[in-house]
Amino acid sequence: MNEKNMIEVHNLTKTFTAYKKGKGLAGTLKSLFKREAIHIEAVKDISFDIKPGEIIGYIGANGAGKSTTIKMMTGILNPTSGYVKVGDYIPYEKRQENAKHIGVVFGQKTQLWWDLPVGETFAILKEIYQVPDDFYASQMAYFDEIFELSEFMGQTVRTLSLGQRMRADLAASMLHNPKVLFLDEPTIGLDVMVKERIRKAIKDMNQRYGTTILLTTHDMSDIEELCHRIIIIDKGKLLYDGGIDTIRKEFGYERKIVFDLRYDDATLVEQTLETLIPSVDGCQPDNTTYQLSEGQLTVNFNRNQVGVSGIMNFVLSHFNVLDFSVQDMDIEAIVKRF
Amino acid sequence: MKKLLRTYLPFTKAVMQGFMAYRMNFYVYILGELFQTVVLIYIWFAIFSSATSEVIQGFTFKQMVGYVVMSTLTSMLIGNEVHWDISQDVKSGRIATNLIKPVNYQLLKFFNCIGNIGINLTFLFLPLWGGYTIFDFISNGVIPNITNGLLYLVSVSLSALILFYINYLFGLAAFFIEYVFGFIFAKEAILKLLSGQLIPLTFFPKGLFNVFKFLPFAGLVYTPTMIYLGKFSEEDLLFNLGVQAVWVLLLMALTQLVWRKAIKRLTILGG
Repeated sequence: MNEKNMIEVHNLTKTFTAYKKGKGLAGTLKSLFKREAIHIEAVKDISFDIKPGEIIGYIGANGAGKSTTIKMMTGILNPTSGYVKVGDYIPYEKRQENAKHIGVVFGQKTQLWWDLPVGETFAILKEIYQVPDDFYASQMAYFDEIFELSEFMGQTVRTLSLGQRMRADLAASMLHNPKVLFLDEPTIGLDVMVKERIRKAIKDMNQRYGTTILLTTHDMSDIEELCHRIIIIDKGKLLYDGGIDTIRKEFGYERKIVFDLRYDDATLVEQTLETLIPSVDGCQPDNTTYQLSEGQLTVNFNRNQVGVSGIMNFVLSHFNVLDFSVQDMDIEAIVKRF
Repeated sequence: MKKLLRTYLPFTKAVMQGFMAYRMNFYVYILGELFQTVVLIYIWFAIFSSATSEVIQGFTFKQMVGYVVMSTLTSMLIGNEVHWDISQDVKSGRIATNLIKPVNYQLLKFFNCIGNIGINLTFLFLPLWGGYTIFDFISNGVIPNITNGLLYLVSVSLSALILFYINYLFGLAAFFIEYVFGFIFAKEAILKLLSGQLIPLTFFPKGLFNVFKFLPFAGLVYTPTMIYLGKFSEEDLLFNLGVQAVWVLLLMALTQLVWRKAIKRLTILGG
């Protein structure tokens, strides 16, 4: 190894043991004495390395094992086998030491103090991470510039909007200038403006301090704009580890149009749809797929080979369309293709 | 030491500041506790007025009122929310946000607990104790004994530690079983009885009393209250303080052991 890795993940496996609960009262009583163990393999034999300063998109469907991996990298969970190394530490063996050098945002949960004003929260974090006074002052000025924190500095955390809370949470995770930043869905549920601001801040942080960043997301634009490299996992297994370009080349031209249709006879619609591929210019079974369910027609196609107008013309002239939207291919669909 | 305080005192401060948001809740709860105390005093009044002797198990009625008041104040003073906080942390998955910080979880909860006690002391113990002392002086001419007061401080500090460890252990139970509420309520009821909060432990049959006095619960309320009232002989005093100190050490070791098991078992709920 020539260059030192910031993060090493080696044959990482995590198996959870849960116990089956019996049905009804009798079952519950029975399970008090005899329990049936179920082993859930959340992460299976995953290995990858991350170099300092990289921004990695860590992608997978819900329940793919992303959060479990992050929890092992942050020292909260012990792996069943294999190991993780972050910087110089094995996180779950030296949790507190490791914690000094990492920042974490769980998009679903805040790490701020619910009942305290935002400003107080930062003062507390300053003490916990032992941030020197002058660095604290410069960080706060910097955060104010990129997150506009002063708007809500005096408000208690529980009164913040989701966007404000996320900005505060991100700032909190960056306060002590960590070497590695773990962002678990930092843009979840946010509007486009706030998302944009958060992406800018992440990029800025990476360029300014060379912070290594690992982020999970369901948002394709997060990945396109931020990530140098992506790692895809599904059902606990590693599917893809490589540059964003391959993905972009293969799936970047994928588009999806969703139509809301009104019809009485679904079979009639199905029959008409069968003529879609033969009758639209450029459409082939391998570059166009469609799906009809409960009044919603979803058409996936490759923008480079098929014209949007061809598909639009076909659908609009054959069906009663109530509404439609054109979308980028989503991550779930990409994962399914592997 | 200074570094330790700088890191952990914010957790104490956070509890105290957070308290301001839930003040009403706190006072309503306390009102219920005080009502119970008044009922208890009336029951003792009825018992003493129907009794043939003025002294029952070494207590006169006035001393019994003193016991009821001081035992209530003591249990209010040492009370903490650690068990609820931990089970909440585990249940909601918020424990993850604590564990990503470079802090020791037990110390964090300990400093939370100091915050609870700080609130109890300022908003409950001092005003109520002051009121009672003035009342006792005016109506009975009693002035609190300084030595007993100082010994009480030592004993109640040990009580606070014992209760912290007990509650911490009950909180950790949440790592092993998902719903700890039943356990916690059962614990609360048992504590009331075995700690001497409801009646002095000497009122139990001799055989039971001889067992109870060795349990950690006796050290919670009974020991400091008896010390404050000056009802212990020198020998009893040393024995009971000794029992408290031994339990602090035992529980300290036990919590370390359980924590190590708990953290291995941790499965974080909610993603």
